Amino acid sequence: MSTLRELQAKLCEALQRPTTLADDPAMVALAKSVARGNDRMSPVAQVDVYREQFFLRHVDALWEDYPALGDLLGWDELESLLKGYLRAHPPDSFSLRDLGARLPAYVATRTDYTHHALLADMARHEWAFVDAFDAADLPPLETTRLQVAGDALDGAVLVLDPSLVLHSYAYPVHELRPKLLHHEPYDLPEPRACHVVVYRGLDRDLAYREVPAAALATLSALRSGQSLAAALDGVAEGLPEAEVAELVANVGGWFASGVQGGFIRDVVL
Amino acid sequence: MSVARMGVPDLGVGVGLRVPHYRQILDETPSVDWFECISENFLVAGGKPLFHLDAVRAKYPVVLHGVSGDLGGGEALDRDYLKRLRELVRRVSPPWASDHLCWNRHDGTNLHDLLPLPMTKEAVKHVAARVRQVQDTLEIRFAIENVSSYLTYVDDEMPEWEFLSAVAEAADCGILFDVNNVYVSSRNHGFDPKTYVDAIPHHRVVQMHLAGHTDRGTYLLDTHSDHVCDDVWELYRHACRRIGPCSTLIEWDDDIPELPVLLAEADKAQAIRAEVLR
Repeated sequence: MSTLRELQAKLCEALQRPTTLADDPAMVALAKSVARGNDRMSPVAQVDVYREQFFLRHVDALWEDYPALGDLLGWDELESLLKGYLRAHPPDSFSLRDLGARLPAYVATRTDYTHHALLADMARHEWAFVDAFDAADLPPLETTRLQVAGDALDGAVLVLDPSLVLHSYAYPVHELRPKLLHHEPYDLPEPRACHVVVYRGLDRDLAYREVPAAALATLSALRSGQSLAAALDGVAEGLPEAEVAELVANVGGWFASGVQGGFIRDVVL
Repeated sequence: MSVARMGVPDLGVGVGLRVPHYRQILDETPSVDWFECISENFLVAGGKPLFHLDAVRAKYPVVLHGVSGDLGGGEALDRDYLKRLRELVRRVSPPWASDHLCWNRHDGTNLHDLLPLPMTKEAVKHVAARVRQVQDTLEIRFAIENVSSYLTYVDDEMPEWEFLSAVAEAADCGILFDVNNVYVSSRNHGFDPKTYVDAIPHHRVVQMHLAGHTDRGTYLLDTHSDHVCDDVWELYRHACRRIGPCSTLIEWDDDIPELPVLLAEADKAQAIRAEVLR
């Protein structure tokens, strides 16, 4: 008789096998040591029901989070990728929500794919939506907070919305993804460095926006807790004079846009 | 709503709270007694899930139903999970919470399945202690649900109804009696489902589940993807007679239909309850 832990160890191993257990004599023996079977199903067929469900459930959950990646790869290739991912990174969270957290990094290692850099960017972009979807809530910025800040705004720390995900891509995957999801014709894009903010708007709907490199760098610095002035100084450092002038000229617009879009949730003096 | 067993109310007949129905539920406030939500879907920091849950809770009673508590697991209970579940309980104030009499996790891997336990005295003792710990942590009535199963273990020492009863008695917890799961397991393992209904401690049943399943030829699979079948309605009728007034919930998780279809199933359960309990 197995102890509870021994039995669970056996099943845990069997359920993560990617193919039917019936083809592996060791697994058939394992199943016989665990399950009784009946007149319709052998022990190995009974255990195989759970093994099949393990893959169906997890592949479905991942596909839901990575629909455009799936469209780019096609079903067979996606299934193969996801089975490889599940072997490399067995689910370890109580929530299926977390299942795909390491897929972007895994895809980045799959240099055997012709367009692996594009696929890796798409995976990062799609996971950004998952992270933004249920990030913590903060109340909208009250305009009185801005009035209070007044001239001291430069030294203030701006509290960004927790849903903001800041990414730089080698490919414009944010332009490609809607075409894939809406089944529109598309060509694989040429590489183009782009900077994208994925976020949850004030209406709680998910959105994204391409921003200039300097805006993304400023947002990153603000997120790390720097004041607005320090963030801008850091970004301006090393920039040619013309770009610094452009940065200064644009910052007011970014700020207004950030307040309106819900990027900025508080001003701490 | 009347006071029922184990200090929790009979809420009537509810349905599972599922994403495709959020808008209609909030806009139209349909006539349904209560909702049950999957706890894990709301153990998040913020965003739409909690916004919608709060909005539904403002209009209806909501009960929390877990799928990842790993009540029968061999590892220590996940403290982070329990902490977050307790926070959710405080947010929602459900009259009770529940999870499955099963195991989900081993050696750090979460299989995300409701895996049956060997029905042994060792397992009764092990699971009952964990259920007590969960119930104490949540500080509300906790109920364990019988699962559908597709295998029986070489090591089983007792029938499932004895196992469920023994765990519930030892843990002093409630039972979420899933009528469809009993039917599915009875067909898969060849026992009389009415024997199961008759044998459990009826005073501990705080809720019943009804759902559809799929016939895979050599076995039935608990898919929650269809109407409740006639045999399960008949078993529910029998359960109502034996158990008495008890909150009942329709589960539908795959191929989710329009809300009126789901509510029609709830009406059917309501009619059977009314007929049996009058």
